[in-house]
Amino acid sequence: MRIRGFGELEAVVMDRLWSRDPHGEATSVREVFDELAAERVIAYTTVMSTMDNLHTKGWLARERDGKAYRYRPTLSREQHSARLMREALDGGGSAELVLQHFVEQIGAEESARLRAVLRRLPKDTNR
Amino acid sequence: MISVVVGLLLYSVAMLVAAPRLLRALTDSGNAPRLGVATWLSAIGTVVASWVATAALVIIGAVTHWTHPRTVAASCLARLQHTISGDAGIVPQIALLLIAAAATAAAVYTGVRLATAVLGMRSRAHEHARAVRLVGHHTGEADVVMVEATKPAAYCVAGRPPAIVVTSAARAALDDRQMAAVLAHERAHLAGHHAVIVSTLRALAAAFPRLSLITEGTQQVARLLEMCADDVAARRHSSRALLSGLVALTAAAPAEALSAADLAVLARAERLAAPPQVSVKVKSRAALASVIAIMAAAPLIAVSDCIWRSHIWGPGMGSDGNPFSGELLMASSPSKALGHSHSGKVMSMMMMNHGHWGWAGWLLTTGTTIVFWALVITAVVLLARYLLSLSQRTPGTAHAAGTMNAEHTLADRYARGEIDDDEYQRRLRLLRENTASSSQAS
Repeated sequence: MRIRGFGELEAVVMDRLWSRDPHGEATSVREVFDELAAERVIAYTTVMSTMDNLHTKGWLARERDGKAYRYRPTLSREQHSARLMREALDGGGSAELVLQHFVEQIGAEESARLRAVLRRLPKDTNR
Repeated sequence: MISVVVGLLLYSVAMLVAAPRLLRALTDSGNAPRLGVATWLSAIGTVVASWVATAALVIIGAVTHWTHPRTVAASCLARLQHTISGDAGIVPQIALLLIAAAATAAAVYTGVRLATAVLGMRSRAHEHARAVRLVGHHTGEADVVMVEATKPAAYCVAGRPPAIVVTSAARAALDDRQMAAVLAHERAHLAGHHAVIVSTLRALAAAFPRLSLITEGTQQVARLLEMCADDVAARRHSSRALLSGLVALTAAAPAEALSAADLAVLARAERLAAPPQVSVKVKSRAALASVIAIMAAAPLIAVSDCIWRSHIWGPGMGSDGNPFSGELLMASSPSKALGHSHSGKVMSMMMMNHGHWGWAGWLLTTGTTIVFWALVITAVVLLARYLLSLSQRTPGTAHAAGTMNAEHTLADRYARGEIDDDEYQRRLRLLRENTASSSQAS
């Protein structure tokens, strides 16, 4: 996969860390770099600053190991997903978070009426 | 200058009172959603612009008069203050300063609040987009992220880059055609920068929660933007794919409680199932375009009308076309006693001494301005009603549209030879009888 921008490298790094055993040992920058460098051209410092960034933003926790740090995700992917989906779907902070939903959830009766509308649509329409 | 301010304020008051219902009636059908959005935005935009202009004029007026204390009385409030207390010196100056300070403070406070709110929403959205990209699974398409969730949902969020989020439940509920249509809908939102429009309106609505023009406008615009995105998606794919996507996503997890969203979704579905006819669309567009033109022209007319009036009454007034300055220059002159005397006497003396109309003139100009605007607004309302009656479908809109659609289907089948003459006639009669009886009932 080609990397587009910094955000995507963050995603790749998180992906690597999440795919490791959550109860195993924390991961060093060197280990992540070695994995990534096997697949693409990338600088060690880029990986290091990306992971440092993720730590600053609260995605990674780190502990000192000699001269370097070892990192592990603060939350699992599932926990993060659940938090984001609560934010997006439960309308908690909806006034401040502007999202364009394709469709809001509607009542059962309206859902039935919606299906009735769909049935009325000619099968071969292409409008 | 006061007359300009009066004109602008009259315009914004007229808009705040008359526009919400009128615009809702004009845009409710969703026959021309893009122009509908433009109409709401220009209504809100011109009102906000007239406030800004008013504040600017008050500040400019105060500053110029401050540097020329002799004409300080040009302020309306200062004039009142003056008549009441009969005191011309420092009081009007302080009043002016206070007005200017209040106008500045209000403008700055509101501006900062709006900017903070909009920027806050922007950074919340960007943060969400980034986080979603971190936790989501990448799909074949660069702008689409799939997130594990039991609720079916699809939405887009602004960011750098923006993201379209599809939950795993939604992915499972949609087939490929439906998915493509849903994505086209979301991409239309992103391409049109709809999030910017929505967040600006939300910030305005939060700042002015009592102005129904803005709160109602925010909701209506959001609804019309959905229809705009629907149109794009339906053109690119098909109404059927989009509509069945809508059904698939809502059927997978109906909400527990009824909400306002229900009606909006049904209205969208009706539009997709029975798109308005071209002639209806054209009439709607003509109606909306003329309303936009009137709203754009009205503040300008208000201003020029007021300036024109102050020139009519002008000769006796201040050289700046201000109805007060001449009179008040006089009042702030040595004849201080004037302020204490009977107002009728004041007026007659003014007329004798200065040959102008003073208070009577002011009342007359203001009165005629108000009457003039009442007439203009009535004319606009009547025009809009007329245009509305042209652009609206028959009573019981949704039902009638459905019937018309049914008649089309019937005619198609007849044309394809699927049904014979007798059956066509019989079915058509039944359909029409049904429509007639339900129209009477409604």
